[in-house]
Amino acid sequence: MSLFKLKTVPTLLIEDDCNKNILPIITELIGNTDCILKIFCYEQPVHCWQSIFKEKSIQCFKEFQKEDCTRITDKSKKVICIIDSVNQMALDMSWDECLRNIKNLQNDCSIIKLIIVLHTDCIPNASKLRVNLNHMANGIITYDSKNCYKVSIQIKKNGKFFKSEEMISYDRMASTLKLTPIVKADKKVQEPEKISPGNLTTFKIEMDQTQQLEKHKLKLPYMSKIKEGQGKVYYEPDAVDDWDDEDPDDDLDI
Amino acid sequence: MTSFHKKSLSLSSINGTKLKNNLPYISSGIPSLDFIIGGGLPVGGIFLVEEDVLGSYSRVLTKYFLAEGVVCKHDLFIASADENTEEIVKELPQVCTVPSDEKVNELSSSEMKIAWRYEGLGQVESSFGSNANFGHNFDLSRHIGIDTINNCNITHCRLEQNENNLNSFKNDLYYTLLIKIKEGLIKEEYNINSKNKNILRVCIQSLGSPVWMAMDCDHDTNITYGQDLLKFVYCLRVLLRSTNAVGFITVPSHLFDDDRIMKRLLYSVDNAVRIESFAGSSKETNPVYNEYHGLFHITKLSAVHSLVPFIPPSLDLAFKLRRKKFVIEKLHLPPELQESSEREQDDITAIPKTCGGFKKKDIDF
Repeated sequence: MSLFKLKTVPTLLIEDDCNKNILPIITELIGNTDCILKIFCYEQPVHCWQSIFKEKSIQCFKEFQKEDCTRITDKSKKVICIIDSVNQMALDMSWDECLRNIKNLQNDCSIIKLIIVLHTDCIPNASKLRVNLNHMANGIITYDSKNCYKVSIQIKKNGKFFKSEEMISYDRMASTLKLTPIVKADKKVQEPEKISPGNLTTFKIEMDQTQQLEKHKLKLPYMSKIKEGQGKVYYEPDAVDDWDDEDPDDDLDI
Repeated sequence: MTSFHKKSLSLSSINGTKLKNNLPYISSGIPSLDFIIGGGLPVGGIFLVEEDVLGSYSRVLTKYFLAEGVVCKHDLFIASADENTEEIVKELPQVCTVPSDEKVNELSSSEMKIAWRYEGLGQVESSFGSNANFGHNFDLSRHIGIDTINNCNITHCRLEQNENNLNSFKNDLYYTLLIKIKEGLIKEEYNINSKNKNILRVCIQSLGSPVWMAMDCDHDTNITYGQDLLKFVYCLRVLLRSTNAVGFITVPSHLFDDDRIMKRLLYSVDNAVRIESFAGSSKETNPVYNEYHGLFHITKLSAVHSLVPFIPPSLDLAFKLRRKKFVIEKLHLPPELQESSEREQDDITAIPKTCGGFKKKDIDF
């Protein structure tokens, strides 16, 4: 379920640290599309990526260049972009420039998916980079720093948050990836029963239909005069009247 | 004989404004918001909205502000560095046909037959500004037609970075925007002393988003962080002050890692509010809040042409978004119908441990 949701996310941020292998999840997310893959390789050498996506039309760039973005031979084909990793990219250019380029990639309508890899353990520019990227991304996969198989997923869509923690399992033979949500030990917070005021009293406080009708039929003696416009009931508060604003059980001393 | 005459500036009224303290006010497009900030947005001032985390509700506020301008035939100036402003304009909501006030009549017509003492109490009103005839309600599901939009005087300002940097701002975007606004304000209509006046609604969407702030992040020291932003808002205030323009700025303040920036920003704006959406927070499932979509905080109200600022009826405010209405209400807790064991008087009977105290259950009647 969440894997399907992740596939529809336009800008995805993958937060990992060392000792994590994000390749299975990337290959799974890209799937069998006939899109052009554009990979900005700052970390892995180009041939590494080429050997992974053998059958696909793939373009690898050592560094991000503005011209590379616009240089698309076939306009009709959609593009998936991967930045590996944004840490290196931010070091290479300034963070400001890096951000602007990511923004441009986001706004480019030929790019249907943008995958950004961020290593959380070596972020330049303190924490701002991560906060900003989190703000810009529509989906975030964060690897747990202790458990390699555990990820937390956050998807922002239509003004709503979707959050879950999942375990990754990878079947090497079938090369399929599975995400199973971690079901938290159900605390079973028993939904308290809807308490109606009727259940709280020892007498019957609610009226049924016939009683309601009877109530309407009842003619109060003074109402006829009031209706004719001859009389009016004036209420004058008494000196000893209290407005029920204090506790009536005050004097009980319990 | 001398007599005291109030010095009036012979303010000819402009469409969609009302006078308060001899100063024209415009509506934000949300009647209940107008009410809680003291009747609307003062002309010549800046209204600041601190965005919610996902920015979806602040977007709605922006749309209301612009749509109100379209309805009142004001001129619009829209700037954004993050998205295409023309897309925002395409999605402006259409004005609601005024709902007949049958509902109100229905309530008041049921006169009391007994317990007259409560008759004069009046209905408890938790939403504000519902009976004010200033501003409009909008239907978010229907958009204003493209013809109406084309008839409006709308200036779009799509901010793109360029390299020539010969001004006092580090980030060129701020300077470009200031110049654009200044050019827009030259028009005679926006001069407070001119005869044929109109309002210019200046809307800046997501000011201070990563695009604006990124240049400040390249240094490890925090000294320059946010400096440009503060300077910009200060300059903007000076520009707008003596004109018939109103600034409406949304700021994603949750992205700032130094909360002093926001506090300093508040000094350069006239009114400010903060939206706290429940989406994604623990408050989403809290039964106390289940009627609302988020909390609404008033962070600044300034005293314009008066000694004291407007004092809102309550500061515990929550909002909910309906298809045809954005309602800001006094936050009410749901009625306590449960007989819980944590009530105060129960505790008193439970712990009289000292002085030879005994428990209630020790006594057998």
